[in-house]
Amino acid sequence: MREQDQFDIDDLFAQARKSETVIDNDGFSDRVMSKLPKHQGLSSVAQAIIMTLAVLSGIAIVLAILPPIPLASLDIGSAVNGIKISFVSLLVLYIAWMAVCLSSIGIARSLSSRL
Amino acid sequence: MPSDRALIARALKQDQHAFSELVKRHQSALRYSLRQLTGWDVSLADDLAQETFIRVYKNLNQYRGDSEFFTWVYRIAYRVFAANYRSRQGQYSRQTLSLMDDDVHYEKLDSDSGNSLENNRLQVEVSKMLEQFQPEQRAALHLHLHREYTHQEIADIMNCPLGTVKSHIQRGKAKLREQMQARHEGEAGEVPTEKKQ
Repeated sequence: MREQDQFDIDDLFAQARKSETVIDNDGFSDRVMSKLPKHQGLSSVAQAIIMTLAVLSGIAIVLAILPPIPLASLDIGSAVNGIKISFVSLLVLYIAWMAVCLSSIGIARSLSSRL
Repeated sequence: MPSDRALIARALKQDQHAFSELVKRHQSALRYSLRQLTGWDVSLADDLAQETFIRVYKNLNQYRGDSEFFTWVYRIAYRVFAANYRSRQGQYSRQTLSLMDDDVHYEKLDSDSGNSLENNRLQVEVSKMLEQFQPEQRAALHLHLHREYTHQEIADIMNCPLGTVKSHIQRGKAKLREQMQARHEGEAGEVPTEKKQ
């Protein structure tokens, strides 16, 4: 008797499974798509800014590694105070700049993913 | 036809058309399951399905691919359903089911889905039987008996211990068995014409 009852439960759900209603989409996916956030990732403006920063950083790095003139004789501040900038300090400056850029990218992505 | 994973990869690159394809592919099964879980409340089930897909879209980058995509969707759907149930304190399904008792509603279902009246009656009958259970047990029974997920998969979907899932299913089936037996005995002893008089 118990086995028969067990069969009935499974049989009932098996029947329900076989006769499962196929629900027509009928505009449901359009309804979902209209409710999605407009931009999941970064906006085009933010992407453009980040891209520009990245390109400028790249150019700066290339200039730092392969300077067009010897850095030792570079006298950037001669017109101001006669301050000379060394290769090491310029490199530190670039690394700091890169850190700022990468942090900005991370913050921007984090903020955009929460929107 | 592109695989789910291919569509997911495209959707992650802001291709909304790909995500729309994913929705179209899985909407029927998800909406059906949510109708079963909500006591066949079509409107509420569709709202929950919509909320589920929106969360899926927002969290798509967290899908690691260690389970089937639809299983992952179910995980989110279960959270949405459970949260909604808690917020409404389980009132909606009882109200809905009381409305579903007459044949007019079955016929409405029939015209909506193109399915046979007998099949629709069966779907609602099953959702009625599940309605008596708490959401955890209801979902476990549906996922096991209807969707045929394993106990471990259900535990993963519901984010609860395996033992709890087994207990939910075992006790749930026992209760359903008792009810079916009682109903069977009731129907056997019932004489409708005499009852009306």
